[in-house]
Amino acid sequence: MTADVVVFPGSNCDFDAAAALSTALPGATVRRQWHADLDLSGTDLCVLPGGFAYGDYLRAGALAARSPAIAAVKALIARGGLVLGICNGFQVLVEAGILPGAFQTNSVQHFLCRDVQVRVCSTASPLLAGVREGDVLRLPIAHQEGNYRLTPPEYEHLLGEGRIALRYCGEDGQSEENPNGSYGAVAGVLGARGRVLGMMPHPERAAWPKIGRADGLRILGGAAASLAQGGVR
Amino acid sequence: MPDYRVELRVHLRPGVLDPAGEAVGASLGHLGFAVERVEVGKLLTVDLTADGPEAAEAAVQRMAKELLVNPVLEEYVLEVRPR
Repeated sequence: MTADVVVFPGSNCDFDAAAALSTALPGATVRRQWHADLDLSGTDLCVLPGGFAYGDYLRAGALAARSPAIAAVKALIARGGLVLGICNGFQVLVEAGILPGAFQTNSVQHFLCRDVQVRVCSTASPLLAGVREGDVLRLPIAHQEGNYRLTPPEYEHLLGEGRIALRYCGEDGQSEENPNGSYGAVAGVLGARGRVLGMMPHPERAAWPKIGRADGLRILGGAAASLAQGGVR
Repeated sequence: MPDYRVELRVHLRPGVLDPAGEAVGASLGHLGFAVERVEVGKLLTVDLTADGPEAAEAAVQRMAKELLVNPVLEEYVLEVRPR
């Protein structure tokens, strides 16, 4: 399989994402591609990494969402490919209209950089093949504008379609915790048909078993099994 | 065609949390100023050439819709002037 990481000017998690994907997807071809030359014709999984694409000028993700790369990403989704947006990549997907909602500054009014727990609330996606509903993952967050806003009808619609994928939670997996004030404590959502996952926590920063941080591999590696059974092209 | 300058003032919709405004307002309070509320918005100045002021306004309205404003969270007003 082939996984591509898109590099925008200002992306800064692209090397980490590529390294983590190489660990999570043994045997896969993993490439980093500059957004302006993006070719996803042979791609199974496209990752939009974290960072500050275009300096987050105007709004986080707004300018990257108007890059020509987004047409290639939409074409990949249309032919059944998988797209994972992490942190700034999630913000880009929302600004591009590929995922619903909008992002605001964290309710705590400052940058958050720490570990959180997220509970898996849906597995209606090949990208979530490595986790089960109710699983609790420990992953780092690092964002200023992670306060994910949905209107109540949007939220109910997503909930009804099983597209609320991840929610922030306490260490026991049950208690409420909501570090950035996101509506419904939503940390990750799925696109229509489960081909797209946007998430604020960074799985690529928790992909190193030797230092006791490997929960991210369960997200990054999740697509491998379903792709191995026939791919997406 | 004449030249125009369009100023687009973008602000958060009522009820949307404005952490920057709250922080600035709190700091003004620390300095002893009594303020009820501070709102932090954005001013975008777009210089362009158009057939007339209506055309200049229409062009920037399209820009606002396609990129400059996030309608979920933001509202805007614009003002067209000859340049």
